[in-house]
Amino acid sequence: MTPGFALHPHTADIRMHVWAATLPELFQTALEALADILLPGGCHNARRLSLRRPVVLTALDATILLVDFLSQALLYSQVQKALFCRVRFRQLTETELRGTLYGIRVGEFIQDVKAVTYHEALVCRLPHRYEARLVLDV
Amino acid sequence: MVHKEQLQRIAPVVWELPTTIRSDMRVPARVYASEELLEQILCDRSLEQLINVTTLPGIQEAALVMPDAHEGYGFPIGGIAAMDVQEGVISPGGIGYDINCGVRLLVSELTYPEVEPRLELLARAISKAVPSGVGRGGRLKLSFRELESVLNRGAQWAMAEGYAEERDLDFIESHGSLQDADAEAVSKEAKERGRDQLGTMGAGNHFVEVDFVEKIYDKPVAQVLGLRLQQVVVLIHTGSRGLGHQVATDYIRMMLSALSRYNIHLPDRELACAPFHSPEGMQYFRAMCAAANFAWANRQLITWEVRQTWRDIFGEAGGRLRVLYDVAHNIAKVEQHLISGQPKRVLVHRKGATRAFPPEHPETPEVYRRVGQPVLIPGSMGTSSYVLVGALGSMEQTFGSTCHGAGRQMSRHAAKRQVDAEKLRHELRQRGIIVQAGSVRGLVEEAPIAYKDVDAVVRVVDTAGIARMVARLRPMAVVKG
Repeated sequence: MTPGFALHPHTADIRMHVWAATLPELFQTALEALADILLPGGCHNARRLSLRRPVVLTALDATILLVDFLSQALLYSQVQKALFCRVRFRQLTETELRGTLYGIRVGEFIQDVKAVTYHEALVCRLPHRYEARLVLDV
Repeated sequence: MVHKEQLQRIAPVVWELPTTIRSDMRVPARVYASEELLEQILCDRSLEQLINVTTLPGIQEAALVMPDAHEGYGFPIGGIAAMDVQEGVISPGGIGYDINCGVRLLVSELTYPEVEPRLELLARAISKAVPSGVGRGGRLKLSFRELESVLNRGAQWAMAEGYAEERDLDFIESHGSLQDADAEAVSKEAKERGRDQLGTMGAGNHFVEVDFVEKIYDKPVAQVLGLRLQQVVVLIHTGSRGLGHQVATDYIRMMLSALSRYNIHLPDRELACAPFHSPEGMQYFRAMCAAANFAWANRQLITWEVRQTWRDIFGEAGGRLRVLYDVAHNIAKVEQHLISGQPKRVLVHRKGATRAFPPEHPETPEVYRRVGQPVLIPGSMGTSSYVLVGALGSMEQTFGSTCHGAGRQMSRHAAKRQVDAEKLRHELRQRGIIVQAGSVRGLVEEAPIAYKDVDAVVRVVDTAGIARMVARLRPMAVVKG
């Protein structure tokens, strides 16, 4: 299946729905969705992802791991004024993650994202695919 | 989904969900709303979220939600919960990501006819002086040492650095500085995220707005507050920026992993909490106080910028801009309240709710003490804002609290689909309101149609006797990210 994401309205925030065949693809697609919210098309236009940041996380389950992963990417984005478009994993299980984020400096974003919340967050393992639902505080 | 039939009307504008609604409720849930606003509140999941709040350990009397309620994450926006300080918990989700988001009102000595001819110039100058937008830094990039001083001292730091006038701090909630703040409890990441954001407005619903006093409801109280018809005022709405967002993120994560240690079971992870007196609870409280101090320093820096601009535009004839008051609407504070008729120290979580202490409360500035603590309720862009004062009912019913704004009713996405930016700008212009917005997107997302009727919201808290209407402010110029 082709990985993808959709954004749904929420009274004050953004609901994100992500789907992919594998867990690494799910995390990669969620990262792309976050970048697309911060600066629509920003990754699509990027030629060379020269910025690198390590990411090492452990969590109780895949849902918390995904929220924490995106929170880490958001933090790096805000501090570095950068967009992180790709992740390369050295290790990814449902409770542990080691990898490198790749991005570009962008200066300003279009959308402010305060946080990736745990509210109604869920990663589901379904037959032949993974799905995730997240709410972002914007 | 909560249905209207499940709510019992216990007063003209107060509705209750009894503990029989769900087996895990420890206390009832109460909603402050007119029938019309209640219908709107029932359209999203605010009340399910409020019921979730009633399950938190140590909650006292009832979980409350104000008429500007809407769905949030964990707690609903507009939510109030008081926890026993000995047995209860502290929940970062009960305060929100934008710690000490709040409002400050500056009052000028000029009137509408005196300001109007230079309004366009003033709006442009404020827009230039106060950085806004997503991720925009300010004129200061603080060293970590300076930032720690901001976190520990808040508006007192600003005063020491020459960014405040002598009496400003007397007119800020908690004098703009929470003594329990500890910069050491704030992560390096949070400090990194906030260190160039002091003196910046941010994006979303944050703004600096020039208004004039359009109507006075209570002349004697308005006189005490120094408000008169046609007087031009400036409203500032912003918070602790990225620093506060990161403090919340850090501690929600920490508390999630500590839940099993304290045998806490939650219906929603975003309600992550820890016993107030646990190491995690105390550490978060100190970090939250530090982030609150950052927000007060932030609003003070913006005040300084606005004052400079005011002087540039109007010169000596412009007089001074006095701080009428500054309130936090995303915070938790230890306060004394009557619980079952007995005084008790409780931790009051206010998430999208404003402190509204009644007359004679010792924490209200002396000059306002006989009329009550000023409460500032901003409307949506282009609609009225209100000045109220806390009333006796707030201590009897709502842990000294009231509403915080108009309350969103439409998603940003829906607003973007329905609102044409140029048409909106034109409509506002026709009504004499100048808009300086950093982006078209920011403009349409905050269109008045996306918010509830602030007039109706304020009427509810006045009717309930928790705050009294004093004056209505009408916008002249809105500056936003």
